[in-house]
Amino acid sequence: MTPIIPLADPLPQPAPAWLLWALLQLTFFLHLLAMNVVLGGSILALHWRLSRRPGDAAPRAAVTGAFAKALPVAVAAAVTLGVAPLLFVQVLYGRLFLTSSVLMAWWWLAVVPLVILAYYGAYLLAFRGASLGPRARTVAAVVALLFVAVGFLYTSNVTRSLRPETFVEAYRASGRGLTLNLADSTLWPRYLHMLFGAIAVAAIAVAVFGLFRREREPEMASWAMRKGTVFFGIATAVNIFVGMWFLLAQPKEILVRLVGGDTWAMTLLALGILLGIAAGGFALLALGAKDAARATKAQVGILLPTLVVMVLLRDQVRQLVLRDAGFEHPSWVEAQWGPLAVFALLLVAAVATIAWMARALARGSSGPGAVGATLLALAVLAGAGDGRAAEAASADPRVESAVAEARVAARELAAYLKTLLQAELARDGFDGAIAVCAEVAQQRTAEYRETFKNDIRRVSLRRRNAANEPDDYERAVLESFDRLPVDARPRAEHWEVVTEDGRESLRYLKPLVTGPLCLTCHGGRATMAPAVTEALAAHYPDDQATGFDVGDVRGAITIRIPLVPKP
Amino acid sequence: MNYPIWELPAPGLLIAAVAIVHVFISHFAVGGGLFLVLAEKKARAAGDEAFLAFVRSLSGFFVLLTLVLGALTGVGIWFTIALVQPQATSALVTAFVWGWAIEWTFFAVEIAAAMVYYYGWDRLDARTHVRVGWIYFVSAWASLAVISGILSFMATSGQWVVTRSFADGIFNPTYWPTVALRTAVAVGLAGLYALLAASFLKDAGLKARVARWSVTRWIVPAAVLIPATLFWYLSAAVGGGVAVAETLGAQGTSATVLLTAVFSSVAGGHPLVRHAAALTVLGASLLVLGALALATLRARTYHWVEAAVLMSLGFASMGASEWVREGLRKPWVIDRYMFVNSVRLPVSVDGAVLEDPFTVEALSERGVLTTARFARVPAAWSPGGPGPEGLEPAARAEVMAAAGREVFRLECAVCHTVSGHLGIRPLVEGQSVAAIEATLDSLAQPVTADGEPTAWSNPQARVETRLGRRMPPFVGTDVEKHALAIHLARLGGAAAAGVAAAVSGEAGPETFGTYCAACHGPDAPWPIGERLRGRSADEFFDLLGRLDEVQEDMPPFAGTEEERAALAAHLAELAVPALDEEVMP
Repeated sequence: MTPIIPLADPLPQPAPAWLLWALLQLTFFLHLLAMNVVLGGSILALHWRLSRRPGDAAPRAAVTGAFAKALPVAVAAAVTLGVAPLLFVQVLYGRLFLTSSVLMAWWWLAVVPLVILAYYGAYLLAFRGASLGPRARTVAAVVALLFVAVGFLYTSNVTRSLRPETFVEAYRASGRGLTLNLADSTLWPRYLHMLFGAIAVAAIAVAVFGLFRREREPEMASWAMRKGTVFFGIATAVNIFVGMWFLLAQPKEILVRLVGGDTWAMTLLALGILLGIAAGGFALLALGAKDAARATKAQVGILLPTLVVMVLLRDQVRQLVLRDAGFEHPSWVEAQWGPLAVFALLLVAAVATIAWMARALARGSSGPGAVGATLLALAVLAGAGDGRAAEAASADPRVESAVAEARVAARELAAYLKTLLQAELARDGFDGAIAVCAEVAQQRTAEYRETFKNDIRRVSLRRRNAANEPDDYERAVLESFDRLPVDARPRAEHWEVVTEDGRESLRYLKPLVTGPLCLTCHGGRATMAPAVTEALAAHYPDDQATGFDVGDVRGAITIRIPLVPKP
Repeated sequence: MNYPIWELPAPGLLIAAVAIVHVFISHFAVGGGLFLVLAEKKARAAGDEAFLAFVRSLSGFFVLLTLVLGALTGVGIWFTIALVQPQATSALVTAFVWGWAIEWTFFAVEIAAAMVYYYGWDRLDARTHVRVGWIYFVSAWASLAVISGILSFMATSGQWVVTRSFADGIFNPTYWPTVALRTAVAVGLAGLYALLAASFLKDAGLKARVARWSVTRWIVPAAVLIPATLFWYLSAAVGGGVAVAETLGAQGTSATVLLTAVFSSVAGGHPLVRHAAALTVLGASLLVLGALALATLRARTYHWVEAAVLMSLGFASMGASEWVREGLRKPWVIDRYMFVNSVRLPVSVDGAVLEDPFTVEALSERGVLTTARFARVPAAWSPGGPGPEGLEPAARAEVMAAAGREVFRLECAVCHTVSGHLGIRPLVEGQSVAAIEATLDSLAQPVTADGEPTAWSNPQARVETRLGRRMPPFVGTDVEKHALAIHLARLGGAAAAGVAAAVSGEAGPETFGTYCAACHGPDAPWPIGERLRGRSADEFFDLLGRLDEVQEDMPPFAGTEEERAALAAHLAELAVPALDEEVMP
């Protein structure tokens, strides 16, 4: 019986079919990347949140924290990039897709509230993750489950749209819009194939995150690259078997063409299998590799072509199935080149604008490149936060309390020294104050250190006292403070959990911003009072701390608080 | 007809629910974007740190509302229209995919800008941050401007029906007024939102400053611009062929006449649309008065509940206005191309009319039940022919009624429920089959701009509807029309005593006395008694129309249609129990 397919509109197609096809493949590919990060990432992040394995608590927390902050951006990207392929599917296959949607109407409509809930859950984790405490795990689980459900609904719709021969019967059974395509033998293998694919892509995204952070956070980075590889390997290995299942579940006529009848289809299938196996192989090799960074890049290098081939293969199967069902694209084409050209120009302008905004945001951050900028590489949208305390989503309460302590201490020490300076100024004028500073400032800092019971001192790229020379880490942070926009400096701070000799510590830096009063001793030498320059020469022979302007970063208070090891 | 129909009572309400939420949030997002950037500039220029912090907190809420709920309800509209009206959705996507693609580019920039604006308060310098704010506003407004093209096209397709040109479709008669009106609404909503947000401020001075700024610079200008652009829209709609006066029950289209008609108690036009129009005007007026009062008298001390009340009035007014817009477009879903029930008008290419089985003419010739791709036709129904043959009258009536029910489902249920929203039962209560058939014949006619009858194929045709109810025409064969009438009459209880009550108590027996008693009266050779068992009024009506088939020697019924109906009812009264089923279309 010829399947009943709705007739085409008595309207011309707005572009040649090949162009619509190309746009569909391209936009679907981009959506796939973002969607995989969302779906696969939510699953991986949940797994890591629930994990109780000792020893990698810190990197796990860092990665799940970073993912939590990036997830709202990733969802925005997935939704935005999902609109385009859905549009082109409607133009090319609307007669099928609209029908299959009606058959599962309520389920299909449910996608909207499910995504809304998951999206708000993602924001909850991003903005309030720290204060949620153990409840964050429940929220993360719900978010992951919601995306898992949405994926299933999509698969049900897509598989139904490829079975027009079932339309009439399904509709006869019920027109209430509650019918899923559960009887279809390709439903589950297709769904699982997408699911494991998503986990694989997300795992690589984690490894890439580590790759970008390997200078700043070497411990976390190596963990991320290793774990990313492991999960990439496992997911890909499972997917090879699921892929086989998917292949064998196809109708016989299609299978025949895939394994020999149709050259192009067969080529794609062979390529897909080869690349899939190669990907698994790369993952295996990466585990033993010395240079994790290079191994990660290699895995990205194998993943992208694999995805491209998969997208094309998926489409080829669709074309074969639909041809058998008697589906044809309408031949009446009146291409709307004018509107299309406007679209193309605006698309270029849009990409440029978004890139400009993302770059401005990434440049303005104090720490290593924003997490979202990593996503930008995948999904063309701006990034979210990094280690900035303002959006702190650390899942670790030790870190939270250490940061709070450090903030207080920095403020106190700065205030203390300032009071000291002011008192001396009032008593002895500038040269007297300098004399006191030379002797007393370090002493007082040491005393504060006693009460604080942690490392605390001042450092500067252009120090006055030799004891205030920064170490490499502090140097890098100070340089990043210098790159901040002027009005961002007073409120800036930097903190990070580092591991040295197997011990975790919180390192915290707060910039000291030059005020007008400071110029008297730290401004340009040409404008300084002779009494000051003499006193400086007397007490600080190799002084570097002059030539500052108001708003410059004079230096920073640096603090180190060792963290209690997690039980 | 072409697609399977999702069985859901009043599906239009589902679209309305999702759409009104989205429209509210999206317009507020446009206006709010302008508000944020202007407020930020103002705060920075004045060095007002407190105001700046207030703007910053607004932007957080903004992001959460517009990025998630705003964006997803927009997608939600797409989902609901595709499910409820796939035929129209398919046509719009085929004709305007590049329009949607263009809108999408602006949407992507808007989303990115909102996020960068929110995350960038500390990280971007002031100039860049404000620039990003402008980018947000411009792209949000641009996406509104683009989608308004498709939306306004549905009500006034302009030259598109002839040229099928993208530009003609987008830049249709009501395009620019739509963009202007929606921009004005966006400005007003922004002011409302700022008023609500400021109500939470502890600093009374700042609160008063923000409140007064919101009312004087945002709500009041909107209150002037909205009526102006609204009347621009309405006159453009009239020019584009929309039956504004008819739908609102007015005699003319000037502002005063329309306003009076909308608030008048005289029935006319489409009642729901008129009430919605009244709500639009009332809600907006109360809102403006309330806002002015608040700003003048309570700017320092107003409570968030007061602002929320104003916001609700805005929501109600806006929702009602969207209802009016939809009502004005009826019976079209796409002006002069497709009716709300997906029946189309023919398309010509280079003078030749395209073959299309879903046009008014084609469906009336071949029949709805034959043509609809996913119809549920009763087994005994013979399509295209004179209806079920060789059946007992009772069985025949059942098949007819079942067929009529399916006809209803295919071309009426998209708007009409049985007893609920736009319920059909009250409309057919106590009416005879003949009366209903006559109504079906007169639902909608194509007329020229001067009111002269013309054909549906005339691209300048407008729709004149019965009692201004903005219905599409009935389509289907005469048999299908009769079947539908039978189904509807049953729904209306016509076969029961209802018909007898509607028709004068004397007419039935009188007619019998005139035409039948001679042979069938109680003292006549063939008393009618026994033969009446088990038949409904419709069946009698039917039989009376073909008496010579019933019995060779019987003369055909010589009375009028009214007499025939009255007689049928009378005969049914004598014989048949009432048919009283709750039938879901």
